[in-house]
Amino acid sequence: MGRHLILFLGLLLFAGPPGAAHAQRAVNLYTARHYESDQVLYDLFEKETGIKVNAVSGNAPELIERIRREGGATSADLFITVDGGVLRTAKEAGILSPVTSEKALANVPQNRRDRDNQWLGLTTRARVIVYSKERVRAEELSTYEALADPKWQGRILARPSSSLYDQSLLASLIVLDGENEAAAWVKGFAGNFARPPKGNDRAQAKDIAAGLGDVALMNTYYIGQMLNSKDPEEVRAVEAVGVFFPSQAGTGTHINISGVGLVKNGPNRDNAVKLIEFLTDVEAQNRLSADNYEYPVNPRARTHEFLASFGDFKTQDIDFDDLGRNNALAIRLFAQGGWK
Amino acid sequence: MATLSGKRLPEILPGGWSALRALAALAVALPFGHLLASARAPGSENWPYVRDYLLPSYFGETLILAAGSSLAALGLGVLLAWLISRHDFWGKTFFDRALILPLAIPPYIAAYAYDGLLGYTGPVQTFLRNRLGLAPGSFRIDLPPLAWAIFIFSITLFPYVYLLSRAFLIRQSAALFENAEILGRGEFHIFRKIGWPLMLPTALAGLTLVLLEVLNDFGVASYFGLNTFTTAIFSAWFGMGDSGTAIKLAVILMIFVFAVLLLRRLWHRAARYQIVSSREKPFRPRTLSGPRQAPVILFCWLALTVSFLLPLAQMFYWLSLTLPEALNRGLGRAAGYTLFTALTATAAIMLFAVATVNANRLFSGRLSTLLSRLANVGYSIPSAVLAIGVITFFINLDRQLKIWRPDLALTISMTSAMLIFALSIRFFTVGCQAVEAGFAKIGPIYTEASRSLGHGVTKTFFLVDLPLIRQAVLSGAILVFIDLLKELPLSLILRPFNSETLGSYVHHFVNNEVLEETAAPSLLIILTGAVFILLMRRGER
Repeated sequence: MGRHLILFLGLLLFAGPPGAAHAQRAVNLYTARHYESDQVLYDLFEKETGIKVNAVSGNAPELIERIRREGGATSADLFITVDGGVLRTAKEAGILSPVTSEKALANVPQNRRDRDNQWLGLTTRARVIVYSKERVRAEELSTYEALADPKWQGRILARPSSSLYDQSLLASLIVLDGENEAAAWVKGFAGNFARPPKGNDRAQAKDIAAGLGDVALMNTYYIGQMLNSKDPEEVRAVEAVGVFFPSQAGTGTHINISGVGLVKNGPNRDNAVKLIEFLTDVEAQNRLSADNYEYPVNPRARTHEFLASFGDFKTQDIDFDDLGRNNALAIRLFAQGGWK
Repeated sequence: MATLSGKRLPEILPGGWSALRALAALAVALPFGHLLASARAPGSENWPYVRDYLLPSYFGETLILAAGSSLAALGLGVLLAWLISRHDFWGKTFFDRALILPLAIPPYIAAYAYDGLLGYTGPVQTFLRNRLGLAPGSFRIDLPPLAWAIFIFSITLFPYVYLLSRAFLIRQSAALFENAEILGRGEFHIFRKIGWPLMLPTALAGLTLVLLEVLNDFGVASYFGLNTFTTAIFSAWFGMGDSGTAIKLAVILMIFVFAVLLLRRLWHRAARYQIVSSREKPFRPRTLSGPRQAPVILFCWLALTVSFLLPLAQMFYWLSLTLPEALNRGLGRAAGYTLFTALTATAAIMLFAVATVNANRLFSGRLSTLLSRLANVGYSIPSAVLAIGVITFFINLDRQLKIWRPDLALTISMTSAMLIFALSIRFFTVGCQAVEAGFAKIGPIYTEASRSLGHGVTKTFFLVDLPLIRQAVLSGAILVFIDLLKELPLSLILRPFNSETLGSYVHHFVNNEVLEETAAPSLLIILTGAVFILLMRRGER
């Protein structure tokens, strides 16, 4: 019986149905962005073009590793993720190839895409200072660097340094201030912690409202999402904090980018390029900002009014590649500086 | 485990039993071998840094976490098993069943629930702030993350200890305790001098299950930002892109796990001597009446509330915030897909578990020992490493296929086969243990009788063995199924296009920092698990 079963299973394998990945009109995404608003856009794209969007979501580094191992046989057409450093990692892994579509390149300004066009930005987000409206005056705040001042002793809240958001922020400070300054900053900043690093971005805002500390770092879209939360207490918590765009007089506020890369060996290249064009076009960009409180990369798109209410601001003038290049060093500085 | 005495069969039989067992061992070994072979071996640039700066803290935190969680789970499990076995009191049957329900809650979900419950926006603090008018933050439980993680593991994993200790105590002879009672010893004395030493080997066997879960956990440790070996392997491999360092860390973790498995074997052996034959009079619980039962009842309630009812209540509260949108097509699809993968993997695991264990008892020898050890390795490989190993293996398999069918691109690695395969490897041990326990209970005599009557191995199995171990197989299947429902990292990495499991669905919301949206999928996991646990307990009675 056993032998027949094995034979049967073997036959089944060979006769196996071709997966969705090989359907004619399809594009396959490996995405580390998993917001509801993205799915809405994919559905819209499918409706407009008849091209089915197949998505598998996961953590970016695992997806990169998977595409790398799949090599020439990969079924991934596009790789989407949320950090400039990670986009560079994908490029370095040799899994991407340049986008040449005039249309897509026209949608995305030069400083919002890879210098070889191996990935294009979709949206940006700023990492800002949030503070207790009750206990801190905005005038007391200035730069990221100033938060290492002993004045903030026991008043700073932070998440564990395993978070990519803070790793990329530190990587940017390494570029702008130099390694030694950045190392000293970690020591000073971590020395001011009100409690051991804990929780996610939203948790920092809540702990400010709870009075555990006065100042924290947060990504802009989380603030917008909290204001629109289904949990009324979360709305009240975020209403208790003020938003400050640091380093406006100096190096600028840290921004990070989410972007899309064209996978080198993807089977549906034309469809993939169409989806890139679609995602960077005004309509999709408007939606990305409206639904997820992110800054669009397409200058012709509308920025969500919540973000627009903060006005224009000066951003760090650095190459997003540098975030990835300095990531390992940043992790090391966190460990040495005592930011767990 | 009991091996058949008498005539030993030749080591390698042409029959299907050895073949199935070898297949199981091979299935486990292949992806892992592939991985080791493909890993950049020595001299990675990060290793010296990891070794000098991080390894001490990985060791420290992993040890504290493992020791703390297992001691707390041990204490709680043993105490509850003792109280419930030794006493008759109001609601005893209810507690005996209900106290296993925490097994249905994945530790990572319990962590989210407690965070929500006690956090700033949770019902406790909201009530104090808005109703009682206390200053924000005037009441909070401020434990270090490591302590939180220990708390979460002990409340979700203590049932492993409870289950084994309770099953053990029920079988004990009355003579043991009654003599002490006649001599006028108090309850505490009896526990300390007789109960505890007697239960210890069994309880420790349960403890090893707790240890294995803790060592392999990723969800809780990453949520609390702990530096354990699992999170370190993740960040070395995926964060630093350094597979060499990751493999080194994985090997260290596996040494830990093998040590635990070895301990389990020793403790199991010790526990075996204590089984008292059914001819002895079983001991009778003492009836507690009136107010004397209050402390016991209160303690049981407390344990049940903290470990199960509170997290469940928090999830229902979140569900109320997210209804009705939360019950959407995505949730239904995730539930369907989880059911499909979990059932398929359960079937595969139990089939191979029965075959392997039966082959082991029929043909014992060095090769069989090696094969069965090998097949159990899956439980000891960190999920992230296992996932990459399985991917590499399947991609190579696909390349081979391409030689025969050039029109195909990646065929198998784009299907659920990859995920189901990995899940089967991961939880194979759980199935094996249940089957082993089943065979150990019936002993070799029935099989030997059938064989001496001239029936073949296979005929004996279907006519004699299988009906006798049916309940054990069923219980094992349910345990495996629940583990699969709760599984997270593998389903996250290995699921094919457009597919979500309930676990990955939960993770997706946690990633986006909308904890309240985790309610619907979490409740589906917990409630399905709870129903199956109750079914299993009923079957055992």
